[in-house]
Amino acid sequence: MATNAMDRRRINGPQRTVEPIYSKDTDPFASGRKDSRSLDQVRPIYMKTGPLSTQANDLSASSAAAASGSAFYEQGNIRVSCAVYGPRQGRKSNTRMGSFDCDFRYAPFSCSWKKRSHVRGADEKEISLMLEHAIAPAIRLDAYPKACIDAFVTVIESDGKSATIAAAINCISAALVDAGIEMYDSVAACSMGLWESQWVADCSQAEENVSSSTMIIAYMPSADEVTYMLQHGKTSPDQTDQAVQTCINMCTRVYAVLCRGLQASISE
Amino acid sequence: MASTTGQLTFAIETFKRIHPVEFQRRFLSQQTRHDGRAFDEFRNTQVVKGTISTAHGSSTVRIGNTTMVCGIKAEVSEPDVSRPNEGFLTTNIDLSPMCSASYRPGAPSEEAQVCSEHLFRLFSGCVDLAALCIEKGQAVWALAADVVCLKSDGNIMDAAIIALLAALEDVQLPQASLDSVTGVVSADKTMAKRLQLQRRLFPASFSLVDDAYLVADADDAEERLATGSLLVVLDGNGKLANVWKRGSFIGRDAIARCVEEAQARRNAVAKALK
Amino acid sequence: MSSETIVTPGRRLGLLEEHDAGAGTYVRSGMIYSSILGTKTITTSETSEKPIIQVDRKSPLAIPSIGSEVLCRVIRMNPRAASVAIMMVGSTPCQEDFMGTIRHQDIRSTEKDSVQMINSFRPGDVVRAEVISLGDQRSYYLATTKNEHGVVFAQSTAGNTMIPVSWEEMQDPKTKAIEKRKCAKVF
Repeated sequence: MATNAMDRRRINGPQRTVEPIYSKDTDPFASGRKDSRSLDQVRPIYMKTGPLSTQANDLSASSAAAASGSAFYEQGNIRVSCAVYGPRQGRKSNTRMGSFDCDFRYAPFSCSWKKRSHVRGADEKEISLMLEHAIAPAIRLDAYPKACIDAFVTVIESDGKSATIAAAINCISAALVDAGIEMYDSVAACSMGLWESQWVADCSQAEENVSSSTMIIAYMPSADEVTYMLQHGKTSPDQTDQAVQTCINMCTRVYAVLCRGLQASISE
Repeated sequence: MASTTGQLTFAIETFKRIHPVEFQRRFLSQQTRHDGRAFDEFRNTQVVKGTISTAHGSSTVRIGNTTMVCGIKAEVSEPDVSRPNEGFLTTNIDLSPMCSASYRPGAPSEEAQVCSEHLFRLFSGCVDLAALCIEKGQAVWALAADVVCLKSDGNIMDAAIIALLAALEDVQLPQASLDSVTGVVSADKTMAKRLQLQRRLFPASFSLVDDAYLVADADDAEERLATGSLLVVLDGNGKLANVWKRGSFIGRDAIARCVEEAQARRNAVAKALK
Repeated sequence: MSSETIVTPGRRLGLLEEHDAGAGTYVRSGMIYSSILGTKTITTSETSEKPIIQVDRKSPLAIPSIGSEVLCRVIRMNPRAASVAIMMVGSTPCQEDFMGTIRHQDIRSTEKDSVQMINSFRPGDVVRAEVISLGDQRSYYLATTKNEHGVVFAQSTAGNTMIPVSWEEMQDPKTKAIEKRKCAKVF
């Protein structure tokens, strides 16, 4: 149960709440995938960089506290928003290289299971670190001595844990490019789940619940380098091999979508 | 366009960065604002309801560049002993560093705490808590409303109130029943009921910039120079629900004028909420 | 002679044998790649025999580097140095302030020993300066030794904007009081 030290800085509800038992969902793979995707198909991606505003109002948009870059990313039901600040005054003592920090958060209402506590959970810290590791190799930190770059990511809606992490990586990539930060390449990421010895791309939450193993890969297509790879669950080495290959192929496709979106953002 | 201060000529961007007060004064003294709005003009307001499938009710609100997302999750809890047939509504606002560089990561800032508290008091009369009862003394719905600011460009209170109102209007509570033997609450999402609100709230914010100019719906740059602010909240019938005045002196006639402008704003917000 | 296309980071732009790598690009194993989102331009110049590939960004980044000219505001002072907040790099406003330090030996180029901080700057002054080193952990080191560097905007104790009357003095036009500053030479 939740640790219920009273948090006086927030409005508190009752001490203990539970999810009601909902009538059972059916097997997600009962008759093909629910959204009639093929097994290696990523959900449709929508991406927008720059301020979320629809009207261009340049003078008012350039307030001093505005982020250097931002992006909003959708992949099916997944919605992630990211703001990048920097390069700005560094807090760390490393003056030779810049530093990159990442802060990942779920909005309290973003998950299909129980409401998330306001206090930052261990999983959010873990994912923050994952994102840092996945993205940092792509940034030319040597070009920014003394400076630091901060990325703040908030998940507004999630649908599939691994897919959400992959979406966050794509979102940060886009926001970094939008901020004009020098990068070796943009990182594209993609996830898969193993369901009855078959790899299924970009699992939704219902699909992930029944899959025995998941895989996340972050990849820089131009450099042909994998920056991050995480697999948990039980697979044979051959299956993992196969998954890496398929994931890389999908990442390349995601990358193409990202690049097209970014190009469109400055060529209106 | 260039501006002179003392002996030097600065480019307009430089001038804005170095002398923000003087920059705004140049516009305000000409009865206009730096983004071209009139003093009593609100920014374009957009409301989208029900966008988030993981929440029971949700909304996205945009006022100019300020963007707020509100999501409401419904969970089951035991009622308070003194009020056995009433549910709960909690409202929190999240002002993370994502929306503006002026916020720090970590625990909510004092500003966020004040905003959450004010939202809570405003909305405590809006929802009929007795309608959230599942089984008297046994189980009630606890609604947790969280407003997340995605981009802050001034006037977050207006955006938060509109977002919360829109999300509450969007709430669909599943049909729930308590099994008296096992004590388990089961719910059926296919039989959902819309939450009825007892009253609607329509906010309008005004800021006193540089102690002299009363402007509606100040953006971030103006808010930084504001010495006072006034938040007028009207209910659906145009009656005053709440007036929150902070900071320096605003005359009584000016407040009356603000209430009048809030009436006009109410119609605009009601239209956006449709 | 230039051709334009929009490129994203990681896009291959050309061979190092045929081109020189300009701003917004990097080189990996003999190839030139873009490192930012922007428009690719190829320019020829007399100084180098190969055409230069560079990527022009949509909006410039403001980061102080050695040799760049900055505008900053004096935050606080002590007898040895002034702490400043860097607000502009070149003609680009910084999103957020960078911290800088002007040490007393970097204020002017001659008679460094007789320089007194209090006769050079006051908190609140806007100063044009040059970055001379990346400095210590916290701040960049700045210098105002050049003639065109120094105080460009200052208010007198009476609160009026002052006018420079010499390179060492500024005058309040209303009270006619004279205060000491290390003034920037007006272009």
